[in-house]
Amino acid sequence: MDDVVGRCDRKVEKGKLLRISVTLRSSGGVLVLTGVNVFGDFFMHPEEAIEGLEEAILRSGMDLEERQDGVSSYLSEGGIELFGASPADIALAVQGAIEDGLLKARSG
Amino acid sequence: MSGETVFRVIRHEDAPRTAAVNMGIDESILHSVSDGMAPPTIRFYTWAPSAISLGYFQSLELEVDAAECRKRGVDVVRRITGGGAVYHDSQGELTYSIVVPEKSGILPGDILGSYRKVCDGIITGLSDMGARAEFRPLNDIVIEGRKISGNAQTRRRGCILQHGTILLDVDIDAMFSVLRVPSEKLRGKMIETVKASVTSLRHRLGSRPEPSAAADRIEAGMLRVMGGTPRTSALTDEEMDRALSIARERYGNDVWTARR
Repeated sequence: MDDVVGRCDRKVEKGKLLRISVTLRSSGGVLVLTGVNVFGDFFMHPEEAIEGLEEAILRSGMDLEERQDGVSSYLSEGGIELFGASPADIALAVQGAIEDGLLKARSG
Repeated sequence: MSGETVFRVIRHEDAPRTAAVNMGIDESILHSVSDGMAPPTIRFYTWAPSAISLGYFQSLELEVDAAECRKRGVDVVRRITGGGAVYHDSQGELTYSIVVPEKSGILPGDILGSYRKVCDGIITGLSDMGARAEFRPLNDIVIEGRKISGNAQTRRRGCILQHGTILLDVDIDAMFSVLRVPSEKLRGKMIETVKASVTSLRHRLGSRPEPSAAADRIEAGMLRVMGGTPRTSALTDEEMDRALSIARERYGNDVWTARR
């Protein structure tokens, strides 16, 4: 099975627009997360931390709570400031993209 | 901050530049201030041709209709600052940048506080022009709830760089001709929503002020709020050379623009 790309746009209340893209790949009969891009009009200081954030999301896999914890830890341990979205917003937006990908995978 | 801080003020608003060079100049000034080669610096500028600047974290593909930009001769550049895509109309916008050392105390250390202080200077200038505006956190200035200025900040090399727009006039249809929207079905509705949520000095004052007239007031407002004395100046040759080099290597480079 080819990679499946899932997408989700999530407007944070009184915040910014998160635009997530994920790649899912079949491994041993299950779909696993192999790529994440967190796009949007938010602010993060330092900006270069975005790649590390995406890696942290990838490491946390498909579970929502683990993902939120992973994002929170990555930000706090790195002294990274995020404005316009929270770790929970990012985790939920990624979840939306994963669900979009799963739906596409099921519908062939 | 005492009133003795000298700000270098660079007035470029009557000499519009390309998007890549404008972003290169802002970054070059950041280097100069960081290296102690220049005092805190405020710059005013305009754009030709019109351009879209993308926020650092945005997707080029999701935000910009690149083919339409090429057709219309609209530049596309990616900023080193976060925030959203901005359509810099060659006829309708004054842009500013400010670079100060983080440790100078000119701006608060916290990010929200520093946005607020720079924006308070702009608001003071707008008020002097007869447009009563207010700060809307995190990074906007609004008049009666409608956005007239967007601002974006980065902190690098021990300095704060903030740049932002002041809408002299606005052409939402031109803006949306080159920007993608999340749903094509909702394009018309989105355009109407944006029209209702954005304003300009022309709308507020009845006529579009000249960029230099607006820059005079905004400069005075910023200096009043930050307690500084202006020293009008030009970029040094070294700064301009570095700006052109940065423009060539980064902002004019498709690899940078399409990196996300």
